Amino acid sequence: MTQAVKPQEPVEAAGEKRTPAAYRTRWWEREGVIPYLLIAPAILFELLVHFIPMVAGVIMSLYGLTLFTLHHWASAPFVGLGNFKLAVSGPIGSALLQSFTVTLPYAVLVVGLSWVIGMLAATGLSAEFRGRAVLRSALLVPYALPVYVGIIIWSFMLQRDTGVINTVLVRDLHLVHSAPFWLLGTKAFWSMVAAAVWRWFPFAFIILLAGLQNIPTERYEAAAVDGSSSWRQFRSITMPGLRSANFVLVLVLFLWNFNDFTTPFVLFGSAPPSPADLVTLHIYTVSFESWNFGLGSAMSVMLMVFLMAVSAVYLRVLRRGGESGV
Amino acid sequence: MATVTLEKLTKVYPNGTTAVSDLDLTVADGEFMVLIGPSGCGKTTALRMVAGLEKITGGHVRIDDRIVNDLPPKARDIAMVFQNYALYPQMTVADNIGFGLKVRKVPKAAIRDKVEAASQVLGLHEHLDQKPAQLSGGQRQRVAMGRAIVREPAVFLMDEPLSNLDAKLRVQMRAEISEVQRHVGVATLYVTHDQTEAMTMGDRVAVLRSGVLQQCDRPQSLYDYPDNLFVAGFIGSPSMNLYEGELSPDAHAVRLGGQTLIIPPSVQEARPRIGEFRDQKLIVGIRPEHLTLENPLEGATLSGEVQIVEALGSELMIHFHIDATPVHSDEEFSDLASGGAPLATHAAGIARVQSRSQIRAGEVATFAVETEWLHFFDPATGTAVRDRLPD
Amino acid sequence: MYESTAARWFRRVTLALIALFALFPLLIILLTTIKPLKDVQNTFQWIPSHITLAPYAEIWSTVPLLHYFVNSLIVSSSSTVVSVTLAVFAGYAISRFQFRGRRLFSLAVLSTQMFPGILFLLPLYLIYVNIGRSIGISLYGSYLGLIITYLTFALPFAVWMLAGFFATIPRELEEAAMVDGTSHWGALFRIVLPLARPGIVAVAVFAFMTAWGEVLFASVLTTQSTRTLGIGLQEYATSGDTAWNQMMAAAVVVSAPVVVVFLALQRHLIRGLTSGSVKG
Repeated sequence: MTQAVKPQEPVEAAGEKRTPAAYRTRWWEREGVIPYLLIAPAILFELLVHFIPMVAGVIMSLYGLTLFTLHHWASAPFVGLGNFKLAVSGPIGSALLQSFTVTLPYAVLVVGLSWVIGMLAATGLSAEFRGRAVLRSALLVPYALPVYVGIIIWSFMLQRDTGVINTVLVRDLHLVHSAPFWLLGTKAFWSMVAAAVWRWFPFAFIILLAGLQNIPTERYEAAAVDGSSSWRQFRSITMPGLRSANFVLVLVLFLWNFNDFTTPFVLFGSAPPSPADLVTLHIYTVSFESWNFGLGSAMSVMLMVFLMAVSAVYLRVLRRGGESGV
Repeated sequence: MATVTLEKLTKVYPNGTTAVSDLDLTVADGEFMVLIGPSGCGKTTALRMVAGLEKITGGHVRIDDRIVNDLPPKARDIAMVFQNYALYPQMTVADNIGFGLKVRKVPKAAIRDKVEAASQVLGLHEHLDQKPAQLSGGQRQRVAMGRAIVREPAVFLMDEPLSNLDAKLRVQMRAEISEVQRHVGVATLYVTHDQTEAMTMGDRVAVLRSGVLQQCDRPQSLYDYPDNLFVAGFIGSPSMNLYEGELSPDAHAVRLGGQTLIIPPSVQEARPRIGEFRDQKLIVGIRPEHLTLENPLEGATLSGEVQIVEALGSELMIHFHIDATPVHSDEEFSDLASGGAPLATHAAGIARVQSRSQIRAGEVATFAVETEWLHFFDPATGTAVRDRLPD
Repeated sequence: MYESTAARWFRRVTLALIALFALFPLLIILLTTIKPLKDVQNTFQWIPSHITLAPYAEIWSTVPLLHYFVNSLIVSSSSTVVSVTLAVFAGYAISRFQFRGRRLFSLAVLSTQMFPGILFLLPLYLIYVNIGRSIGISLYGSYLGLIITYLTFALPFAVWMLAGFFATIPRELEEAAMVDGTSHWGALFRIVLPLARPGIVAVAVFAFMTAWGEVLFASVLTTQSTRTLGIGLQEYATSGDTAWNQMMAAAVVVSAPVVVVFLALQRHLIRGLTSGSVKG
């Protein structure tokens, strides 16, 4: 095979021998093997840190893991659904329920308001104008900040005596007579919502902006020629065009905010006022104050089941016409 | 220096579609073989199987008698030019061309010399330090070629390399590619859907349809002696005029609608199989250039109503209608023979006439038919009616 | 787009209000950081009684800020490096290979977003403590434990983003490289990865930011020696005698690098974020 000598070949190249052995595919180069090698490390860590603990969590919910048995967990008694019963009955049960009834409106409000503000910003910035890039950067800053920083700022602004919000309301604008306690009682709920919306609307903004830019302008132009109003265009062109973006955006925002721990924890620490007792913080407090991990796990399992149900309903209802992210 | 042999090469996708079916092809050392066919005919799939970029489901690929089915692309001693050139964007032209050598650990000095030599052949010398984004389409093409030739492979594979170039550039690059290939003298498998490229560049042309080889021959033979309806209709632009006719009981004449063409004795001798179609349907093919406006002879004329006359400067394309049943080479042939749905009796045709005739739309034109060049096809199978291939 | 005057003014006013909403708190931070302590202990004043940069200096001793900062840096950088590497490989696999289980893998990875952190926090804490006790590898209260934990947080998003990004790199480039003489791996490392740099950087920034801002797991899995910024500052903020001017100075110090990098790379980041969700 190599008898034909190429006319211009001054140097015998090192790797150009055509012996089969040199070119035989190693096992790790085979096409059937490569993808599995590539995903193996990710799978390993996901298993270690996500799935195995989650399964363990589910198992833990069936055992009486309290302060006494925590360090000798092998001897913890099997209590079956005992933890679950405990979680839904008596004072513990009503506190948990109350937490759910706070978290659901919270998530809905944060998602809704973030979406509206994000949408207004996205439509506002979809046209070209001077300073557009600067404005976009400015709007991204709340999202760029580390999560807790944003919340700390709001915590400061909402201080009763030294915070700027009360100063503006009472002293400068004379809208209110006495300075309210923004971090207590029902007002605490609204403070939380404000801080969260402030942090999340830029995320909605960029997703929606990209979605808007993917809608061909010809559709709007055709509609304008046909004489339809802005509102009409919004309903018939913009919203349908944003379907796939919205699908993922709303789901993801809802899940993240329903599970939000950082916002209430940084605002209130481990003892939030009950109108602002979000469910993750609630479970956290229950678990680490009483060290009843069995109970905490049971509550977490219930939370997960709830979220899975909500997601399933969401996917089923919106699957027709919508596209998922994968 | 090597030959490429495809033996019963087959590709069936996991979902069941067959892209290539039992393809047998041999490319001799130094030969320029063109694979042509409509989109989806499997030509690119076949090429990629030879390259090792597509798994082979059945059959073998041999490079110089060695079966390469299980070898990865890098071990097959091939080089490939892709449709979109696939130049590495972040590397300079010189690095692009030399990449294959670098991977094979050729010493730097040798790489530099070879890249230099290749760039001289392809006129890329001034561009060696530029990035692909700074080059024009034709230049990028040349870089892709340079990358292929510098490795002195046993086989060249080219996947529609000219389809992204504009028409004028294509004409120029056709000639360049042919010249480079001749200069390097390496077996080349070239995929295209463009007939002109096939006819002008190929030593031989293989026509594929739905994964099945239709005919593999020198370009002129494909043109003059197509083996079946598909090849007849595919090769040649404008396409061959095809009509459904009836052979007379004595096999001396064929009737097209209301008109009769006499088959010259020489043609009858060369096509003894015609006798099988006495008094039966027979498909007749006439190439547009075999219809002229001079000296119509008795029994060798075709009259039709002119629809459109396209004047191209040196010739006229006359679009006409005649009262005959048309045939489309894409139809299922069995339909015709079994007398399926009633077909139209109004067929279109094109005549390519080298004349300054003043003929106009609406008039009746009487064409002289060069009956030595009549083509006949079996209505049941679509194959050409011929016993042997004339030299 | 053709806009009526009313629409134009509506747009301008809303944008202005939104910008005000976004930027007002930032203004407050910056303002507060240059105020002396007495300003922040009394009613809020717009104008500082005198301008001082002392808070920036004092915060380092009021709170072990440097310690927290270093801890966060170690943990966030390490987990970013590892998770980006994992995500690059996994994202490449998803975008290039049709392997059995591909769908399942991407679905599984994405579904981890859905699961409440608290569900696996408790078991993780137990597991870490027990491993520390039995095998002696200290995971609780150590950098390693937190790094391993954070690894997987950014992973789903990173894989998703990178898969979408890799899909924009034409496959022909790898095929050309393989014909030229590389294996799949060679093509990945020599051709695809250099081209994927913008995407990889974007993913790295996201992963870093996710780790930098994490609070829940840090609150449980760190001890005083490994305390990260999020928890450290949260403790101070909810401690009851917070010197807010210093607190804000800390906020600035902690945020500035991240925000600067984010804004500098915003184009890439946005492209990465949206490529997956928009194309669907």
